[in-house]
Amino acid sequence: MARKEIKRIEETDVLVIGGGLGGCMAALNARQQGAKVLVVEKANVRRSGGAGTGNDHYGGIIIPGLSVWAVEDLVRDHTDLAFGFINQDLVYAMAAEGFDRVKDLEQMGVEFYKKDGQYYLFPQLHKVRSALYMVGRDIKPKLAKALQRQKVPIENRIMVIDLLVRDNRVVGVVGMNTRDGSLTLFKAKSIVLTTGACFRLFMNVTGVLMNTYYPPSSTGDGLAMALRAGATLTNMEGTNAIRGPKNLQRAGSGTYWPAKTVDAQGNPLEYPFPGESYYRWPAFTAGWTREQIQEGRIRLPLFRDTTSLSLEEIEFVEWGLRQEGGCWILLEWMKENGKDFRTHLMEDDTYERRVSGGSGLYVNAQCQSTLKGLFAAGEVIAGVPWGAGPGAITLGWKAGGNAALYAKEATNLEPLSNQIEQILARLKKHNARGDDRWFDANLALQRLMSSYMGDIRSEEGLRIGLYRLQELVEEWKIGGRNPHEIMRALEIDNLATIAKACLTAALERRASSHYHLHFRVDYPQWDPPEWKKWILIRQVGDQIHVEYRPLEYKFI
Amino acid sequence: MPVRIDASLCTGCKLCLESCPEDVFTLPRKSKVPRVVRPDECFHCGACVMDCPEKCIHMVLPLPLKPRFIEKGIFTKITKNRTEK
Repeated sequence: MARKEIKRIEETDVLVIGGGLGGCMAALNARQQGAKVLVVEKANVRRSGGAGTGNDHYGGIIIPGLSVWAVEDLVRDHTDLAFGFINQDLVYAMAAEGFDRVKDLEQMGVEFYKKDGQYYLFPQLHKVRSALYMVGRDIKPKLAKALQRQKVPIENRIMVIDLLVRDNRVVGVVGMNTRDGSLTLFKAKSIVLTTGACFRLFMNVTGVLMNTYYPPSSTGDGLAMALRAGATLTNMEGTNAIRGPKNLQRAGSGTYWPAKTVDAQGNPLEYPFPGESYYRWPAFTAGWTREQIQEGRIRLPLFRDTTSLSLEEIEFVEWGLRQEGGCWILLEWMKENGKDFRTHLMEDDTYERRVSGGSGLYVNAQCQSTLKGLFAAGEVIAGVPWGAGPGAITLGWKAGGNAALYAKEATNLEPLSNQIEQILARLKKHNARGDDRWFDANLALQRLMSSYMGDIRSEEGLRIGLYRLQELVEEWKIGGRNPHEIMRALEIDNLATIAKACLTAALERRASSHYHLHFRVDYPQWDPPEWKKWILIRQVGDQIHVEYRPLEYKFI
Repeated sequence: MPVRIDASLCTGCKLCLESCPEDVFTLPRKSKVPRVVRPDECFHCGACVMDCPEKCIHMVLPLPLKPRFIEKGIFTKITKNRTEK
């Protein structure tokens, strides 16, 4: 079976693909359940993933005795924010089990912000306060240490190329070392997919390819390989675009900003919702803000006006930014360049679209996909929009536990040799003779997606987009002169796979949808009730199958 | 270059090489100081700066990535000087 190209075979019970917050928590729980666990990571677990350089807020949490709300209230509010496109079971688990995971993180040395010795809730996404703050700058090195203590083996710099499937069940993967190019066959009884978000699919507003607010190596690899393996994806028509510090793209817009946003005339933005939910804008205000701009009520550019905040508030904003995903670079730069939140306004910008956090792998309440033995958590799954760190942490833990349970009942199956042949053939395509640099291929793909799946979408435009995508994929010869470049070329393959799913889903949603940031000029009515349904996407051979499923709620 | 490494302070511990999520560094032969070989792949996350035990790595933001601030007084002057028609 194993070809001579594959030098090494590893066997495990649970294989975790991606060592971000979700993957680390999955591995820890699976280990606790007594499973043999192995983590493979494209970068290095120490600083990989969306929280690689930190995370300051832990939102979407209900703490008994402290929260004003019950878990159900939070689930209802989250459902409203997402216009109903939500997996309520998973959002429930995120809110209800969040505090247990906070305790776990504290055990690993992650401190949470307290006032007078008590946990303190901050406003964030929801109508009432639902976020804790943490000293999260080193959350990843701390998780990596916790894995070491539990003797969970980690293989860094391994890019998984594809999943191996038998009888609708995952049985292993082939991974490539991105530094020496060596290939390993990993056999597993179950797999947890925690490969994170999908970036670099749309043209970057700053013109700098890798200037993304999640690591640019987050290219939706898990989504693409799950789709190729026959798993079901949903919400792929959904894109979103956040607003943050101009030019230096950072996810820190989710941090605590008690400051008001003002437009170019100095008028504060009055959001169409009450309360102190500073971060409530992601769902509808992208659309709302655009309408206000087009109708002349808001003049661009927008600024964050921190100048009227108290010193204490400014100090807290800076404290949060120091913990949150590389935002401290912003603070350092300010210090070096004489900019100060007390005297200066910070210009904001809307970043390019990304595949929405609520889009991805279709999973059930146990975090299991439609493929047997394939569990997933974090940004890669659908139905938990704005789950971010807490979503990855709580559901990663859940996915890992369930994958361990599954592995207890399962045996290792021998992968099929034709699937391994296919992987080797794909690798061979990216050789030194390829004319196109991965960099250029990425730009061409981004141009395509921004052209045909941008602000204004239509039946014809999307069809032409699909035609152009096929043309591009047949035309490009993406070279790879070394393992690193081959990794980048494989990322572009993955982005192209996802692009096809996105264009197809956008074509199928024949209605305009606020949640999906999806304006169909040929179906301009917003959110018609008959379109309250999921669009499920599945790939069979080269064809994409589409299915609809109504939205279902436990809590209304 | 996205980062500047102070070669006089670097001890060659290679932690930056390990931490970097995009693998932009290599260690040239006969040198203990890592070099940025893929500057275009850096996303300025600062992992190397955070992890360097000698604090000898300095982040340099390229022009298109520089944040934009405006002093309150100047902002008011620019926005209020305009004559309404």
